[in-house]
Order: sequence, then structure tokens, then C-alpha cells
Amino acid sequence: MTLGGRVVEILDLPGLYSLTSATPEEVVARDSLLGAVPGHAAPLAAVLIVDATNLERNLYLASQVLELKLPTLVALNMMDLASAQGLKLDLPALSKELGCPVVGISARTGAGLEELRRLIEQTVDEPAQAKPSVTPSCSGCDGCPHSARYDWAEGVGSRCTVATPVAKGSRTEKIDQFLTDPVVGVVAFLAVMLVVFTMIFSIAQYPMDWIKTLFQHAQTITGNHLPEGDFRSLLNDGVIGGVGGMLVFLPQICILFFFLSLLEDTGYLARAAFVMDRLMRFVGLPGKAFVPLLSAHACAIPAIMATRVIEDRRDRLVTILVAPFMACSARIPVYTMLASGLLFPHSPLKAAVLFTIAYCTGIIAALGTAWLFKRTLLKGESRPLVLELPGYKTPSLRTALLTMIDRAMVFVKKAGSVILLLSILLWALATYPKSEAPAEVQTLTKQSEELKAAGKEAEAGEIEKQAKAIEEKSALNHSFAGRVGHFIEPVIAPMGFDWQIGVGIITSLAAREVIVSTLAIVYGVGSEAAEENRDSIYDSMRKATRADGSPVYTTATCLSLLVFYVLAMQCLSTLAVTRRETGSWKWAAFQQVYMSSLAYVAAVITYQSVVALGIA
Amino acid sequence: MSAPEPTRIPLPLSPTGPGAGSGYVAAPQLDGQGIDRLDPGVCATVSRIDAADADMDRLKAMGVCVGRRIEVIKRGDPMILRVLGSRLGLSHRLANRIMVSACIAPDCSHHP
Repeated sequence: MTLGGRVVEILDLPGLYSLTSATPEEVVARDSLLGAVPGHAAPLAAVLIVDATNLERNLYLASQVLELKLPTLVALNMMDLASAQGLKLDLPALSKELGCPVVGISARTGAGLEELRRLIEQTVDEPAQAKPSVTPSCSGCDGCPHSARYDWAEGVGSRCTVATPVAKGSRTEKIDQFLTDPVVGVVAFLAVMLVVFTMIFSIAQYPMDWIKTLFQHAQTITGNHLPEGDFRSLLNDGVIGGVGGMLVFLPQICILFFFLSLLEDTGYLARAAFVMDRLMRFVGLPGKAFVPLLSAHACAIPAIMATRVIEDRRDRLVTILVAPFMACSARIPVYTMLASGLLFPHSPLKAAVLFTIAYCTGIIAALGTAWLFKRTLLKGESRPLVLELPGYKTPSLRTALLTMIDRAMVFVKKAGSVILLLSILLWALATYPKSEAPAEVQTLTKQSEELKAAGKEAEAGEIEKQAKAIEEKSALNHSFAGRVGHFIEPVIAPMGFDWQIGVGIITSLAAREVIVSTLAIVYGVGSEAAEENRDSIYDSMRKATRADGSPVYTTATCLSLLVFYVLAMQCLSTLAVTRRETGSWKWAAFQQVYMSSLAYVAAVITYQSVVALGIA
Repeated sequence: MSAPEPTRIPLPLSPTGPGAGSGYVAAPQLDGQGIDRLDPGVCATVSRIDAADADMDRLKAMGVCVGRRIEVIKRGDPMILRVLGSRLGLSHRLANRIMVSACIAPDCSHHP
């Protein structure tokens, strides 16, 4: 930003309690302040933003920052809340004690921000070392050196406090009586999350439809303006299809982060982690893992991004690894196809039961694998809970919106490039090598042209559609994806799958819901007809037969396919986010492999046991 | 988790009983007792912590270290402490590794 005519770079460091280098955040913050981060110059000055309502706790960190001997500035945030509570602070006295300028601000109301800008400018122009009146460090104590620092912080805090709130935090403690109760607290938490999810699923539907329509329009436009050929297909099916498939999740990501940020700002999220801690311990995860795992029921991407609150690396990794088992919204089309399209088209109740079983299977798989990982690969009990329970306050819509935009941008920017690249790769697999359209297509095209000439537009269109469906089917059959489908048929046969489903598994590696449209193509319904009428896919699927004439979609195959899609990874966006959040492809690859293997084994067991039980 | 199991000296629990009175009560003869056994409203000083290094660091950052004053707000698992004017949620399995003694802070305004 520009300050007094010159450009100043502002580096936001993670929120901390201390600089003792115990956590990665603390190391990064310390190194940044010392100018030890490669590629970043040593800072001109440090601006320490502390919570005015909790001065003593924050002065501990302040004393450590002041010891670094940088020109320092202390901004007391939440001054509006402090005065509302009846807390009065003597800022000049505090400035004297700390030996650096102190300014009261409120990020929520914007009060004091101008003064802060002015002070930053002044500090940068005339750097002055901070000179705390008393050195807080105490090397001679035989006890805990931190204790001396806390004594200092408490002393300064009490000397600079003019008036203390009459009943500090009594309201918070009254609310906590209920919200941290082992039973009432859990029920309250589930109720809160139910409301959040209802909001996500009801609100997100509209922007998701807009995005879908927008990308369909874009495809129509390129379809009309570009000559038919590989480039158009690449642009349409590879680029626009791939980007659209990713952006369609953006509304859910945004809404989820908006509500999570609001909840965090009220102080409630800490209570949620508090009450869930004991229950989550059964699977070896901390209470803080619960909200991300629950969020994964909307979409695994924001869930994995939300695991940042988990301090312990192993706890966080396990949460990331198991989160995609939760039934995200992209699984709904697949579950719908199998449960209400194929298995129980005439019984909504049975379909609903199967849906519920699919959801529960995902939850059991997630908790079960978490339990297993915490006993084998990432051994160790979850870190015991040490969590500040901040006072309740009215949340800031502005903060929630900013968090939401920030997370959405991270997803689009960082995951977007990977997703685009792999979407193009999958497009190429399904497009090349090119094959001649079968003779049937040419006959049909001729027929439709004759009908058009005779003025029978409707019938011509019908035949044209038929021709296109046959052409799509043949092209996919001869493509790399089709060949891979044939190639893996012996491997997937124990699950009861034929090569067509194999192709569906390959093309839906990027996004699981793609299996529905792929199956529409491989069974020759045509992608367009499937868009218009879902039942036409189900009809052709039911009619599909194996080489020996027996139907493909028996109860056993449907159940096995359902189990496979409950457990398999099949989501490129999640993989890209896992790579980003864990910092290596290693964990992303591991996630893909173990989930696919588990899905395979479980599907084989399902198919074979249903067949053995003789259920047709 | 390699820290040794702390030796517990059986002591009468709160001298005042749960919920007695309002505000702080200094607890006599608490030495060697885990904070998980303190009653709400009792003020005590941390005398020893037997936890893993990573947990020690987290506790220190939150203001729980030897010589510091703490007060139990709510018992249970997890429990809630008051440390440095703010509330801290703490697992029972960590709380029972934090030993306290009667409050000795010279400026403690809650001395009997």
C-alpha cells in the first residue's frame, strides 16, 4: 500500500499467542520478523495488533516481539467492544511501559485506522527502537522463565487499566453453562450445523444453476462461432467443461466459509470443538476436526481447507485424508442414478433408505480409516485440547465476507491451474485417437438431410440426434479412454462392471458426477438426450446386456457401483487441494490410491456376496 | 506420551464444597494435586507440569506454566480454566498432569 508517497509492503503474519517457535506458524512469524525468510527483506517495522479486551494475555506476545528490537507499533483492536464492556485503558501509560507508540483501533467500525496509518508512516520514516521500561525476560529465575514474563504482562496490564468491567465475561459464562454442557452442547451444535447445511443446500442451488447455465451458454457460443474440429472440442469439452465443473462448487465453498467465519467470529466455533473433543477422541482425532469433517458433507474442498485450525500435523493429515469419504454434493447425482433411477424407481422410501445407507457408509469409512491411520501410519493420540474460549460477541459481516472471498480465491487460483491441466488431459484421453464414424451414422445423416429437404424438420432432428449418439458412442469406444475401459475390464469384472462402466470410472476420475453423462454416451443415449430426459439413460442402462445376454445392471452391480462411488476418490479438485494443503503430491497420491483400493475391495465384496446370496 | 504418571496425594477436595460462595476461594493444602480435582472458584498456583514437550509449549503460550495462578471455572472433560483473565478449555488427560499448590502469588487479592 502507499503511505506518504511511498510504497510499503505489508506482510500479514498468522495470529499467535507466543513466539516460542513451538508451532510452524510461530517459526514463520519469528523468521519473518527477523528478516530470515528467503526472498523477503528484513521488515522496517512491526505492527502488533492485540485484543484490547484481553490485554494481559496479549502483552506476553508483545514482550517477545519488543525484545526483537525492531521499530514496533502496538495497535489495540476491539476498542469499541472494550468500552462497551466498561473497560478503560490508559494508552499513554501503556505506550510508556512498552516504550513504543500505542494506538486504539476497531477493525469492525474502522475507528482509529487513520491514526494507525499515520503512525506506521511515522515509524517507517523515523525508525526508533522500542524501549520497554522494564526488561521482561528473567534469566535468573530457577522456575519457569515464562512465568516472569507473565508476571510482567500482568503488572503492565493492571497498571494501564483505569476501569475494569463490572462483571467481566459473566454473560459469556452464563451462555457457556449450556453450550459447553456435554449433552446440551452437542445437541445445540448439531442444531446449528443443521441450520448451516440447510442454508448451504437451499441457497447454493441458485448460483450453481446460474454457473451451469453460464457455461452451457459459453459452450453454445463457441459451438456456433468456431468451426467443428479438435480445437472447438478442446475448448468446449476440455477447458469450458473442466473449469465449469470446478466453478460449480464455488457457491457451496463460499457459503460454507461465510457461515464458518460468522460462527468463529461469534466465538461459538471454539465451543463446538470443545464439546466434540471427547467424542472425537474415540477415533483419535481432536474436537477441532469435527467441523471440517461435517463440512465435507457439502464439499470436501472447503473441508480440507478448514483443517488449518488443527494444530497437530498428524491430526490434520488424518482429517484431510478421510474427509473425502463424506457424501459430498457431487455424489448426489450418482446416488440418485443408482438408488432412484435403477434400483428402486417405484419406491421413493426404499430409495431414501439406500441413500441414507450410502451416507452412513461414508461416515463409517471416514471414522474407521481415521481410527486405523492414528494407530498405524500416523501413530499417536490426538493432541489434548488446549483451546481459548473467547467471549461471545456479535460477528462482523465484513470479516465473514472477506474470509469467504479469500478462501474462494485460493481455491480458484491454486487448484484451478491443476484442474485445468488434468481436465485437458482427460479430454484428450476421451477424444484421441480419432476414428471413422460408423457407416450407420452416414446413412442416418443422409436420411435426416432427405427429411429436411422434404420439410419434415422434427423427424430430421430426431434422426440427427440418433446419429450423433451413435457417433459419440463409437468415438469414445475407440478413444484411449475406451481402450483403457476394455483393458481394465478383467480387473473390474469382479465388481460386476463391464467395459462401459470402466470408461465411466476413467472419465469420472476428475469429477465423480461425470459418470452419469459418460454412461449416457457409452450406452448410446447421447449426451444431449440425457440432459433433457434422465429416464432415457435409465431405460438404456436397464436394457444393457453382457456378451452372454444377461443384464448388466442387476441389483448386485448397482449396489457394487454404489459402494464404489461412496468410497472412491474420483475428484480432481479435492486432490489438488490436498496437494496444496499438505504441501506435497505424496499425500494426494496416497489419498487417491488408498481410497480407490478400499473402494475396489469393498465393491468386490459387495458384488460377490450379493451374487452368492442369490439376489437377482 | 512418555511423561510419568504423577503421584497423587489423596487430599480432601474443596474445603468449601462445590459452588460455595462467590468469587475466588484460596485452597489450602492443595500441594501435588492435579487441577482436574480442583473445585470451581478455587484459586491455585501451578507447581509442576508433567506433559509432553509439545503440550508444555502450548500450555505456556496460553499462560499455564509453573508459578502462574489459575482458577477452575467448570469441571469435567474437557474442563474450563480461567487463566490471565480468559477462559481456557483443557482436556482431562492434560489437566491431570498439571499439579497445583495453594495460591502463593504475593499480589493475589484472594488470599484468605
